[in-house]
Amino acid sequence: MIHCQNLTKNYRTVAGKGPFSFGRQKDSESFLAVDRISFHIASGEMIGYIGPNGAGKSTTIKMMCGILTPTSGELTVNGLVPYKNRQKNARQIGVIFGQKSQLWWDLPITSSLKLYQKMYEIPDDVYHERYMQLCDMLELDEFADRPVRTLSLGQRMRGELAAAVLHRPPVLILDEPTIGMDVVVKERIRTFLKELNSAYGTTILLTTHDMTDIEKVCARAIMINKGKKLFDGTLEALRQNSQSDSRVTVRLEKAVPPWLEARLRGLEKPKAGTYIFRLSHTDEENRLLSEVLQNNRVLDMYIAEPTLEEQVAHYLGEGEAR
Amino acid sequence: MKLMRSFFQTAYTAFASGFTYRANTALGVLERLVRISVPLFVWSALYGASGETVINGRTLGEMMIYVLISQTCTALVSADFASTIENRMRTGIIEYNFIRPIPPRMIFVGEGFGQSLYALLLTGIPAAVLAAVLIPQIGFSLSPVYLLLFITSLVLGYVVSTVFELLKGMFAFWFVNVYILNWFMDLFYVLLSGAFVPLWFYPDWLRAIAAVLPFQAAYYLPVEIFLGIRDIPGCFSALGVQLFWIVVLWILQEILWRKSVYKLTVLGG
Ligand SMILES: Nc1ncnc2c1ncn2[C@@H]1O[C@H](COP(=O)(O)OP(=O)(O)OP(=O)(O)O)[C@@H](O)[C@H]1O
Ligand SMILES: [Mg+2]
Repeated sequence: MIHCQNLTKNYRTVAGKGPFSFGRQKDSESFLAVDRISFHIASGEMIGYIGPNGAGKSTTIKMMCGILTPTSGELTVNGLVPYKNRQKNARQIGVIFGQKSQLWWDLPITSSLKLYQKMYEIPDDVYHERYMQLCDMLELDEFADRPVRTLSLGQRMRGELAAAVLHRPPVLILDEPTIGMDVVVKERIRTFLKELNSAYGTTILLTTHDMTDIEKVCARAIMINKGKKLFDGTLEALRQNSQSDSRVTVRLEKAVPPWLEARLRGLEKPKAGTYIFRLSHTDEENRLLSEVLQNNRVLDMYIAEPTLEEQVAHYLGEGEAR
Repeated sequence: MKLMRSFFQTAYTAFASGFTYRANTALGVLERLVRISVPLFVWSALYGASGETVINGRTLGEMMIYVLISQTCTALVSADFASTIENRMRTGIIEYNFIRPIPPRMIFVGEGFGQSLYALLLTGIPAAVLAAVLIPQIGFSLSPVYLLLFITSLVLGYVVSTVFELLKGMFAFWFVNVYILNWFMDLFYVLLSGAFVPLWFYPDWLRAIAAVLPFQAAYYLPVEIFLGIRDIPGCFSALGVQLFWIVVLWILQEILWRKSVYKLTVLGG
């Protein structure tokens, strides 16, 4: 569905260049925002496209929309080259830029939806059917006839989602749709995306900084940093690869002897008698931990699995070191 | 056809957007009533004070018709979508205009059309009321041929101003802040379009400058045709001038548009 091969984007910021300076190249700076990225997304997949700020996620997304022309490499969306067929490509993608709005500010959501109905040539009866359905899924009813400017952020985002999928695009691209949403709205958005995917096989590419979004919606993640692809695979694989530690919090009767303490990596002592061990994947450390517990009595114990967020952070940290 | 439907729905949405604040709409009508009435009073006073019935070859009645029709036409060309484009460039919302199945410029122009219709309505109401009161006193008639020529010229004038607005909008892609440019353009517009003072009051040299600039083609020419100042060949040459400007401005606009899109999509905004 979406195919990239060595996709590269090099921004050229040209300081103070007007429209009439034909061909002259003066102090142009370039910035490599996406660096030879390749991946293939099959129809119906739900992909989490993740990476820290400035990684190049939005840049990639803009290329998929045809708004940006790749500097080199290949990119096709459903067989089309986006920047060459911007309008044709527009019919097959739904897009949300979380920070920007595609709704008319002073008008109710329905006015914007009717406009997009005409743009995407949706017949009236089909429109009504879809509208009812979207009303149901996103609970638009309560605010559908109020001007968008009077809506809360979460209500507006539900409207944005309706506008993005009205023409039922086979590909849905979301750049931080959950930014600034509360837990309830986030959950509704996630459910909506999953429903959309299971009902119509919509391919979904989701960018977010909230790893819970990824965990709940996506089966596969593609991670980039500084324009380069770091990881591409299932969430399971990401977990295993990241080798991030579980944390074991233990309250002990006796103190751990100093010589043992010294050998334990990353030991924390939040208060007397309480120890937080890192349960890593090396045999040596696990053996030390059992030694600690053997000559002591455990009063209380709590194991925390690493969150996806920690695992991703860990993975990125390792990427830096490499 | 399908493009036309999108175009008109876009225009309709922009038009409807104008009515958001009902009080604003009511105030708008009132404001325009004043805007039309003031020059009417000023000209009456001027003619009264001078004691002449004909100044620069025009009667007071003609002046009044001029004010009514020029104000109505100004409303039609008042859409300022260049600053809309500027605003979207700055906020990045312009990206949404590039991911639609219709060309971005069609969206801009459609929105501008809606805004124009809204402004036309605001001005049209008081203008029509005033006309209903004044015309019977002045005694004015328009032959069908002139009416047809006027409408043609008005449409062409609208196209001239729209293409010009597009051209201005393109500058937003480069300078992001087109405020200064807008200010300059408005100055030229006020001075050289004949929108506020008819060009027949100008000295020859200023009229010569106005004649070679596109501003008067936007709507002063339709007004002249309406007033019957031009004979039939004169009307056709006016239409020719308008067509000329449409072609010239369109070519300029097209060149700039391509460079702008290149900047946005290849260089990255
Ligand atoms: N128009 C531009 N000109 C020059 N550099 C740009 C431009 N747009 C983005 N960049 C740079 O490219 C890099 C990638 O930006 P991008 O917006 O793709 O990041 P991102 O992964 O979406 O980050 P975030 O999570 O913060 O949204 C950044 O370093 C940014 O400064
Ligand atoms: Mg981004």
